[in-house]
Amino acid sequence: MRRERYLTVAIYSLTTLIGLAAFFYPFFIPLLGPGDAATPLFSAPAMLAILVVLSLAVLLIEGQGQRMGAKQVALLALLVAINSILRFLDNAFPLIFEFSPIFFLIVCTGYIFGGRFGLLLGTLTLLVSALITGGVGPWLPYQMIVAGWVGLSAPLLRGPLRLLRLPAGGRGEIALLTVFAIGWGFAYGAIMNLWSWPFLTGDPTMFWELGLPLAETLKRYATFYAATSFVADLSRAVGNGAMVILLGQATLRALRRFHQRFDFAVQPLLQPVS
Amino acid sequence: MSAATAVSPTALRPRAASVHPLLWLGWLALLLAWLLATRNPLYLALLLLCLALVEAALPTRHDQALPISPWRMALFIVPFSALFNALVTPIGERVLFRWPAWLPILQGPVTAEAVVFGASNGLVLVGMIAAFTCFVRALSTHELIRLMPRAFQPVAVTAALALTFVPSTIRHFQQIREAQAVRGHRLRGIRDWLPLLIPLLIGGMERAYQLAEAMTARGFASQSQPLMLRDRAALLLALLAIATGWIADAAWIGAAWGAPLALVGLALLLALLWSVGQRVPQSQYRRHAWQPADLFWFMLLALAALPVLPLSLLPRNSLVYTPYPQLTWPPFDIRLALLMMFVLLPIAWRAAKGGRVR
Repeated sequence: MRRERYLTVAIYSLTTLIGLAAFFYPFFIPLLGPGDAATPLFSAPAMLAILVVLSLAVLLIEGQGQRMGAKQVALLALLVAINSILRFLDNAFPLIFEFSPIFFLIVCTGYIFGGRFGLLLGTLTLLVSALITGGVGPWLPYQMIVAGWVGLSAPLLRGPLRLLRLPAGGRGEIALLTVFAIGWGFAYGAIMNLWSWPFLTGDPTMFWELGLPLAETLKRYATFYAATSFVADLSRAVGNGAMVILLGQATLRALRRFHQRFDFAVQPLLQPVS
Repeated sequence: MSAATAVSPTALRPRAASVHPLLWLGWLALLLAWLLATRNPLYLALLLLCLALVEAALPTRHDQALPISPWRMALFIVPFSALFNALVTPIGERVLFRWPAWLPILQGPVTAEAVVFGASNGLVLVGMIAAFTCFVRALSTHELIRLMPRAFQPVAVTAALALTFVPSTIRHFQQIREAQAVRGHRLRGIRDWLPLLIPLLIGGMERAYQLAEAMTARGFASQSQPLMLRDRAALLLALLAIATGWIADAAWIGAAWGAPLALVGLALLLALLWSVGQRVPQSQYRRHAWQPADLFWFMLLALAALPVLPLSLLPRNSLVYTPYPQLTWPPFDIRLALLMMFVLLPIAWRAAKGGRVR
């Protein structure tokens, strides 16, 4: 059991690192290799797109790898349906800039039910909502994996909560979740930009080029981010924070109640044959 | 034949009334390859025209919500892309106007070359959106889910269940909203969503619990085979090979073992996904078998894809068009254009299948 747990953590960590490296390769490629050498195979943007897709596949395989009972499947399906409807409302009635209500439930569910559940909720929300809104496109795997990371990382808050001795259901817990949700509001947009940024060409002050030093690459990305995404991500971050502050306590209480019910399992004791 | 053994012949006969869903996947891949291979506005316009004709031939779907047509989105995307590129790329010889020097961010000339290049990028984006729109319209949502590889069976089951939950959840939400409105509830801010969200969540989770009991009563106690320890170990090994090979390839260019190691890791990963998928039992109810006609269409798609491959025998210079540094009329090769028109194949599928494009 412990061996399986270590393997699971290792797989999640390594896959996440590869996925993040695939997104962030424009920044660290100059650090690794000589700038004037031939282009290495894996710096090709298409190859890195394949790596992101494979990282998503591995995360899904591992996420579904432990035995999922009927209760987990049904609960996950229901939460995906609710979140997909929230995304449909967001698409049909565009809210303020890029604010989307889906991240609130992903954060809360991942925090209560665990990283695996949060990962599956995040990825499947984007997939199912894309199917019902007709929003399937080449950006979908990137959206799925980043939303999956939101849910996968939510249980990391339990450690600081224990460290700070904050009671479950209290204001301290809500404050931690708020900061987390706001952080991901910015991070989601910043990471999603990276799926297309290396492909774009234009003004030399804000687009990527192979062979630039790290400082110049960061500066160009910062300019691009400020010009194209900052305001939209700010609205997402503020919206996430507001939802956690105003709706978080009651939602967490409801999820905790059902967590105990859905986690209930009968384990028969082995009886000696008489 | 007794009622107990009578079986409808349509349940057993492979579905032949529409083309195989994988053909649509091949069509989508072909279209994306063409769109990403060129920035030539003439070719892009031809591809978009073909897409519009295919979309017009598709039946209307009432079970899908498509808020905005991709063609209406084009009215925004193409001008915005042209404008954005013109603002950020002061390169080109045909200057339209110059920004005043005192403006803080906008500097340099706005050129016709930048406008044309930006518009080309916009056309590519519109083409990709329209291609996926046609793809999603052509296949039912359950056919889309069935395209998922067998290794992802639990995920596919969950996605299918979620799609089934969506209409009932929407009805449940409307009932809650009406019930709250009768009690004087009004939606004014985010806090007012609480009396709607919590009953929706609790009621939905109760329904999920009942569904779980019904699934268990029907034999769905758990998935057939979880991931075994040796699968996890192989997965970890494959990931380590990919990560190590990638770092070696990027850090020490010229290290011969980096790229092959990463490719071995990729191959191991794909083999593992296939192996996990083989252990998932697959039912044969209403299976979509390959017909001889499907193989013929597949070969035509493969033929049309040849020019976008590096091994193409046709000259591909006209695909690589750029308006920089001086705007010129884009080249046009009729042979490539005729191959591009293979994206109209779905219309031929309709004629061959007696009026049904799907």
